[in-house]
Amino acid sequence: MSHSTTASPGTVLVVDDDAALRLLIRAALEQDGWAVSEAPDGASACAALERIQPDIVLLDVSMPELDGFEACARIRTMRGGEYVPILMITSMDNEESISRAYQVGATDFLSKPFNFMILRHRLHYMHRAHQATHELRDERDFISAVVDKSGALVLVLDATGRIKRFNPSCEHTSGFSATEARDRPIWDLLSGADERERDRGEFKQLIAGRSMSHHESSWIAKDGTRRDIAWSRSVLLDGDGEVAHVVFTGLDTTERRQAEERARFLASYDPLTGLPNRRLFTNRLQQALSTADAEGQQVAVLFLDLDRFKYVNATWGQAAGDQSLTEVADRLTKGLRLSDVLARQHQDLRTEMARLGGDEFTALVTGVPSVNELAGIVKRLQEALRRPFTFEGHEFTISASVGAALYPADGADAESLLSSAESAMYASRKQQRGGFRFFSPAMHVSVAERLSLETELRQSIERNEFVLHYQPKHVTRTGALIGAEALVRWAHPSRGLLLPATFIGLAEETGLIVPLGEWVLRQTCLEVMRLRALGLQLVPVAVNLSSAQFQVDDLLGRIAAIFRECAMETRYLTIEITESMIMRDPRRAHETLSRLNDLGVRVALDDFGTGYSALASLKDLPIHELKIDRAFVKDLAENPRDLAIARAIIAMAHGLGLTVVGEGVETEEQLAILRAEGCDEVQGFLIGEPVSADRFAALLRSSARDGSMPRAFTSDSNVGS
Amino acid sequence: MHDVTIISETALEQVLELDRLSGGGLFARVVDIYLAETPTILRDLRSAIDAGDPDRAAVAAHALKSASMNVGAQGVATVCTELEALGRRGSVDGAESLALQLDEAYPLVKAALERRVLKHTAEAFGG
Repeated sequence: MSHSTTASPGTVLVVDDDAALRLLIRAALEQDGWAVSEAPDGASACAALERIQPDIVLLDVSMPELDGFEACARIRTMRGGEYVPILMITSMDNEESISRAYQVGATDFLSKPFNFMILRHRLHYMHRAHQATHELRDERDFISAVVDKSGALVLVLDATGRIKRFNPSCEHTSGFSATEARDRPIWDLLSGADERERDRGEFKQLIAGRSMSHHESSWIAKDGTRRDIAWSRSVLLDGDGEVAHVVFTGLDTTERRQAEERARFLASYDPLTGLPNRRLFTNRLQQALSTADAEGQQVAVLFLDLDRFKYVNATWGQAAGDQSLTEVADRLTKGLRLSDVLARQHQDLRTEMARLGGDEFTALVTGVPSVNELAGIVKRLQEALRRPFTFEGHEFTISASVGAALYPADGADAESLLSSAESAMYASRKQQRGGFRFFSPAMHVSVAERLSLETELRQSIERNEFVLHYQPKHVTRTGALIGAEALVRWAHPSRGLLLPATFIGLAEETGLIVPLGEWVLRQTCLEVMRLRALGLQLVPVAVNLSSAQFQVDDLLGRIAAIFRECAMETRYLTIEITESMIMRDPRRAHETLSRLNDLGVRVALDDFGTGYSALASLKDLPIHELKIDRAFVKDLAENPRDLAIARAIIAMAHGLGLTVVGEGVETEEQLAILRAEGCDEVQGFLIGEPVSADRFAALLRSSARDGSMPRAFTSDSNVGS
Repeated sequence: MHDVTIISETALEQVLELDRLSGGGLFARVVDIYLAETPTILRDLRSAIDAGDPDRAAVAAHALKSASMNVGAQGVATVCTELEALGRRGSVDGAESLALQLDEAYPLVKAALERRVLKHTAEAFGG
C-alpha cells in the first residue's frame, strides 16, 4: 500500500453481482492505472479484502446473500478495513439508503446509473483524500510517539489554561494521570495554594505577550512534594492570529538543584550534625566582630572539647561516636536555645553553635551582657551533656571542657579568638575535665599548665619514665664503633615516647633540667657498668651537660658522688658541653673542666662553630674532642663556605691535638667529604640511629665479634692531651 | 405504450467510449454477458410471478433493469422499473402483462443488440 501522493493509484476492489457492470468499471478504472480486483458478492468481497488489502473499495448495495450495507459494516471491523475508503453504489436514489450507507461506514456514495468519468474522478479524489488522511494520521502518531517517549515534560494548554495534553513524563513527575489532568486549569492542578493566583496571572501575561519564554517554577505533585522545573513556553496561534494553544516543555531539575544545594551545604555545614562548619563559623565570627566594632558590643567565643571522646569511638565503634556527636550537637544547640530566656532580657544576645571537626565544638555569643551571664550559658551547655548517652543499650557519659575568649580583649580577629578560647579550654581541662575557664593572657603558657607539666616531669623522674637511647659514633676511616651519645627520651604514659625537643625547654625553664641531667648521668653510668658486667668491650658514652647543671654550685661534688655510687670507670664517660657554657664564665669553666679531667672523664665541646669562641681561649682548655655542629655538616656538599669552615675547624682541632667529630651525618656525600677532609669520627642517622640500651649492647657485641672495634679506644686515648 | 425493444444510442455512448479507450471488444463482451444471462432472469421473473412472490419478482426486475442499462436497452429497463416498483409494493397484480411484454420484446432486443455489435465492430475495423 503506497501513501505517496504522486504514485500510481493502487488496487480497487469492485464488488457487484453484475458481471457486465464489473467489466465496464474495470475498463474505466484501468484507464487511470488502477489494478482492479472483482468480487461478485459481499461474502467474497470480505475474503478478497483480507487477501489483497485494496486501497479503495467499490461496493454495490444490492447484491444477493450479503448485501452492500452488511458487507460495508463487516469490512469496517476487519484488519485493514478500518480506514479503507469505501464508495457505495446505489441504484435506490433516496435519502434513506444514502444515510444508511454513511451509517455503516461508507466513505461516499454514487447513484446508478452513473457516469464513468465521474466515477473515475470520484475514486481519484477519495484516494487522494485517504492518502492525506493517512499521512496526517502517521504524522499525528509520530508526533504523539515523540511527545510520549520524550524525557522532557510536554504539556499543551488551551488559551484559557486548561490542560489539553499531558505526556507520560508529566504524569511521572506530577503523579497525576493524563485523564486526571485533562481540561483542568494548570494552576488548579499543580500550583501550590499560595501560588495559584500568581501562576494564573503569569499565564495571562504569557497569552497577552504571545512570545516564547523561559522560566523556572515548581509543581506540587500529587503526593505533596515540590518539583522544580525549568520551562520553555511557546504560544501557538490559529489562522486568525488568536492564541490557540500554549506549549510547555520542561525539565525536572529537582534532583540537580538538590545536588547543588547539597554541595553548597557541605561547603558551609558539617554533614554529620548539620551545624555550621569551621569555615562558616569563622565567617560569621568575622561578621560579628565587624558589627561589634560598629556597635561597641562584646563578642564571646566558646570552645568546647569533649573529654576523652576518642574512647567512645574506641570502645563502642565509629557508629556510636557518630551517633553521640549528633546527639551532643543536638543537646548543645538546645542548651544554647535555652538562653532565649536571657535573650528576652537582653535583646542583643545572639548565639550560634558550630562543629569545628572531630569532637570540637564552638559557640558564638554576641551581645554578651556580662561575664557572669556568659558563665551561665556555659553552665547550661555543660548541663545539657550531663544526662548519660546510650548506644545499643550501653550507657556512657560525655563531658565537655570549655574555654571562653572575649572580643576585643582576648583576640583581635576570628583566628586569634578561636585560638585563645582553645587555650582557655586546655587550661581548664588541665585542672579538671568538664571544667570551664575564661582566657587569660598568661594562658598560652599558663601557670596551671606549667604546674601540671612540671608535676608530670617531676613525677616522671620519680616514676622512672625516662629512658636512654644511644647513638653510635664511628671512626671515619674504618667505620669502627668508637663511642656513643646517650640521649634522653620521655616515655610519657599517654603521649608515647617524647623527644627532648618537646620537654627540654620546659625542664630548663622550671629548673627540672638539673635533676633530669643528674638522672641521665647516673643512668648512663649504671647502664655502662651493667654492660661492663656483661663482659662487653666498652666504648666511651657521652652525656650532655646542661647549662643549668654547669652552674650548679657543687657540680663536681655531685658528679663525683654519682661516680662513687655507680662504681663508674670514668674513662668510659665523655661529658659534652657547649661553647656558650664556657664563654659565659671562661675562667670557671676552665676550672670545672680541669677537675673533670682529674676525675678521668673525657670532655667534648659540642655544637662547635655556632658560638663565638675566642679561638685563643680554646688552646688552653682541657678538652679532648671537638664536635662540628650539624649546621655545617648539613650543607657541606652544596655550600663552599660551610666546607671551608669545616675544613678550618678540622685543621685547627688537629693543630691543637683534638679529635674532630662530625655530627648529623645523613648522606654518603657528607661522609665522603668528612673522610676526605680528615674528620676523625662521625655520628648521625647515616652512621647509626639512636637505639635502646639492649640494641646498643648488641651493637657492642657484634662490633667486638667482627674485630673492628678494639683498637679504637686506644687510638682515641692517644689523641687526648 | 413505448417501444420496449428500443436501444438508446445515448445510453450506449459511455459504453462505446470505454470500448474505444480499452482497445475494443468490451461492448461485444458486455452484450454477450447480457444475452447469456437475460433468459435466466426472465425465467426467474416468470416463476416469481406465477408463484405470486412480489419480493423475488422485484429482485429479478432490478437485476434485469441494471443489466439492460449497461447495454442501452432502455425500453426493457423502463418495464423492469415498473415491475420492480410493483414488487416492492408487495404486489404482482398487472405483473403478468408486463412480463409478457418483456418475453415478446426480448428476441427483438437480442437481434438489435447483435446488429449493433456487428455495426460497431465494422466501424472499429473500418476506421
